[in-house]
Amino acid sequence: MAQVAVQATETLKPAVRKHFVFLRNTKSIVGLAIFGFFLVVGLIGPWIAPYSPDKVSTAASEPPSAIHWLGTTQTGQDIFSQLLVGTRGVMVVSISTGIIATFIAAAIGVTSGFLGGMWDEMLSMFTNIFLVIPGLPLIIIIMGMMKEAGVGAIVLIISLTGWAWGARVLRSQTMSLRSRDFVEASRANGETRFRTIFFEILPNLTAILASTFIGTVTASIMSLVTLSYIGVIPPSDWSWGTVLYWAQNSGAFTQGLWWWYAPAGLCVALVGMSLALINFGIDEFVNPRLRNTGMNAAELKKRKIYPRIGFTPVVQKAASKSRLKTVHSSVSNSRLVASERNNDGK
Amino acid sequence: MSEFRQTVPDNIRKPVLSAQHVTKHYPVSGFGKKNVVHAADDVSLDLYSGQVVALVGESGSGKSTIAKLLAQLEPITSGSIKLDDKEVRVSSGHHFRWYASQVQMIFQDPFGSLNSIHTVNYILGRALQIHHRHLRGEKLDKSIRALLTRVKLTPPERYVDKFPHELSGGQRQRVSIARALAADPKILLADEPISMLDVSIRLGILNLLEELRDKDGIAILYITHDVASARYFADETLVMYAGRIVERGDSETVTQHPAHPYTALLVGSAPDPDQLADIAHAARGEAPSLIHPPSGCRFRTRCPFATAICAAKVPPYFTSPHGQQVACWLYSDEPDTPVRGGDDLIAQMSHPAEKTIEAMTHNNTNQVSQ
Amino acid sequence: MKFFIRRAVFYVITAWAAVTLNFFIPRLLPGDPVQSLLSRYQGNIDVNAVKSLRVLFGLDSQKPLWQQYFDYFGQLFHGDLGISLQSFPTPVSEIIGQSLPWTIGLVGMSTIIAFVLGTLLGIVLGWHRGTKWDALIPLTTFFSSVPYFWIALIAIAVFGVNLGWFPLSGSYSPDVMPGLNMSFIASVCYYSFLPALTIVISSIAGWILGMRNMIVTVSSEDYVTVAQAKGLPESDVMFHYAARNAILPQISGFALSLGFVVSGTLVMEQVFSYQGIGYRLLQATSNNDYPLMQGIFLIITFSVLIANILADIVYALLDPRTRKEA
Repeated sequence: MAQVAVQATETLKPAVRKHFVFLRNTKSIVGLAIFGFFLVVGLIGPWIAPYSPDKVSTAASEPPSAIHWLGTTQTGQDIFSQLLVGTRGVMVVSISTGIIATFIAAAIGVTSGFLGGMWDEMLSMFTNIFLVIPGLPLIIIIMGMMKEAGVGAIVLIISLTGWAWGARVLRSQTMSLRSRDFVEASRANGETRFRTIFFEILPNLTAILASTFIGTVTASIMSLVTLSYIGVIPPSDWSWGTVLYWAQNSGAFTQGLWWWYAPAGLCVALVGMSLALINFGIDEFVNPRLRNTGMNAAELKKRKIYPRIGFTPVVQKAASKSRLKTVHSSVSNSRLVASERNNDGK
Repeated sequence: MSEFRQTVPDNIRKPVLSAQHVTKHYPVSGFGKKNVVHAADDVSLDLYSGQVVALVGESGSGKSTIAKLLAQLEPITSGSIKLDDKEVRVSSGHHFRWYASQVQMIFQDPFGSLNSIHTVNYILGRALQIHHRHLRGEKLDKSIRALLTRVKLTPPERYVDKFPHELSGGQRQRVSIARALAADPKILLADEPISMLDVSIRLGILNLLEELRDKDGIAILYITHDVASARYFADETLVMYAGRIVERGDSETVTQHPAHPYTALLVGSAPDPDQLADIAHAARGEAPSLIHPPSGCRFRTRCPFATAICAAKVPPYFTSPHGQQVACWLYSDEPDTPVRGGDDLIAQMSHPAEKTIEAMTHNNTNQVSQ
Repeated sequence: MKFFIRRAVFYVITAWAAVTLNFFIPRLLPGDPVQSLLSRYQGNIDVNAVKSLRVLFGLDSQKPLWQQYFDYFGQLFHGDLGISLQSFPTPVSEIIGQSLPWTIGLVGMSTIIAFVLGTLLGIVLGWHRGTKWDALIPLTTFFSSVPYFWIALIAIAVFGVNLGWFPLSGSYSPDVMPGLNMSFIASVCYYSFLPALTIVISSIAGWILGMRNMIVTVSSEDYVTVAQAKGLPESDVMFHYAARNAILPQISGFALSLGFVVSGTLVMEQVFSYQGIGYRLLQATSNNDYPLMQGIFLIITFSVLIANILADIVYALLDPRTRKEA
């Protein structure tokens, strides 16, 4: 009797035509949702805050209650309002920095990767210098020597110290794209270099660009909060780090005023996590080997098949048609391998 | 044979594209030493409209380099390239675009030569717009459909909105050809267009190219490592080894009565079930390094007939008894040149005498006669 | 050889760039730093200090810019980083010399622990992909999304205040005499436990994830399959084949991350009042002690460069391809 095997119905879907397909898996969606929430808060925060963040009151060091949702500081300021107002500062700075730094990274990285030769050597050296020189100390001494730093200056300084990583990644991606035939073909057709970069190479880089943007936003949130916390950024600009600055200086930690310092940190953690999740989603799309895990994982879990490195599960339908047996065979391919052969009988 | 060729007498026909003594050396990055890869040395060839010229060689022979040089994607080190008898050197800008409107290239890899993020519509549309600026809207759509029909992708509506990964290898190659044709070129440089396709599809593509030659009078340079398809398809065949052209002539003659030992090796190594044992003999030796190629004739390290003069001087082109041009001292009447035992080189390369095997394995330059 | 020469040239140029940055920053920012310093310290600065300041900031209008540049380099080569303003007349190099070992000791130890632990965990996670080990990933991601100092503060709050297991700040107990005696060393270890713990927790996620991804990529390579087919024990394949190749990008990643490690350290020292170089920098910043700030920045940069050089050497030792000539 011929072997009857299960049809491979869980072949990968053909690559979807829609853009941003890499944002379609669960991780990305959850991440986007959380980040979107913070974006909205950043927009409307100062308007919905019940109190002004600087307003002192007599209700000092109170734990969370109905009137002060997150309690108050030592001087009676409402912590919830502080966080709401601070969200805007964080969002504005981090997203602007993300945009500017990604732009610089793309300009330098893609040009360097595409042109090659002497240009590449010089631009790479330039990028590497910025990569190696430690960013935070540099920011600290720049800001330490400036009299006052407006939001614009902060954005600029963080961007100028944070673009190097993205430039490196974009350069290597561009270099690998450039050696592909279609770029040569585009040139053989008579396409200008400008259009080749913008319409042939850049669209292939969207995933990496998005990933760079997200990475930069994450890094700048960290930098901003850290800088506010150590006081290099004047505490008059409200951000989550400022809340922690005041908390630390007023001894919130030693006095156990957890409602003061915990929420601010949690906000940072949540935003950071949401961005990391989005990045994971993009990662799984870009790296096909990780993608198989993502897309197939749900299917496999349903059938209680646990893939192991180097092994491919082969699913056989037992002759009695009652149960599925799982057999492991050694093929270095992480997709389900199965075939169907119809047995029409005699 | 091509109708085009027979209408114009040979002696007044001029080549549409001609490479004369073209040399290309690539610098190799070494500390201080100036090493170069001798990708092409003193290569001359002519392309006539309505004619297919095959360039046959193995990997590393330099044939893809020739295509890139003729397409002016890379600058030549020395020599000249003439378009319609006028020397041309372009590198970028609208000069390059003008040149590209006459000379187009088809690439080997159907999977890599089309950008996977663009639809067929965009690819062909862009190709058309580069050379016909004002084509837009309805006229552009019509032209795209006409192109698809020309490469036998019918009905065109079925293919227009597809992405490359939704097409088969043969279909992709047809789109590549269509893209090249969008410029309305006089010359097509086909760099191993069928090597990566399934065997059953290859004939279809070759027939398409043949039609372009016959109906539209396009001059085609057909680069391949497969001698058989050169015989089927091309009017003239050139054989390339280690950056030099070693034999040139009528396809039929070159493939049936090869004059150069290397060509005999190539032709003889086509798997023939009756002579499997002899293939082992013929296949000795490896292609030489292009950075430090052998002096004189580059094939002499594998050649059973090689003598001292082969190492000393590069052989010029002699005329073989069957009429093709061959760069080999076997065909010289001078003294001290090797002697061949009869004109059937295939037999001699496939059934070498004992001494010959010794010669081939030990790089011996003793004179051998049968 | 070529590989090393290229890297050496790069490091020299970077060092030069750092010094040049240091030179130009005070000059490019608006205002006259020397004047503002004088006014801040209300004239309580020695004449010699002022002179040294002028050389440092070169607002000696008599000398042209390039001359000031050379003078600055000259000063540096003599090991003269200027004189600290807040602890006048202590030279900057002395202050740095006192605090640098603390930082290097603590951070060096913690980073190495985090790297080793993280890489090992990453290997396990990557190898056993799809099993319950994957639960570690969200946990570690959470910890890497949180700023260093927040973890530190929580750690202090939990372990220091509530549980009272560890001290809240400082580098060693005030009761103990500094010196190479057991009680001092023990005290140092005790005080550095929390800071080290926070560094490890905060940075380990990056190593785990990086290594995991690399193992996933490497394990679908053919040579791993061959090793398995040969019948080698799984741990053998995991370590000697897969991990050996996957670790190379980890090491270059390690080198690159040193800049970030430095940033984290700065803050961590602030939180714990740990008398390392970061603490001094922040102190200097709030006191506008420009010479000290510049000196520390330079030393930090050079330390990162040296660490990078070491990482390069390790990489070259592990990857035979870099040593081969083209």
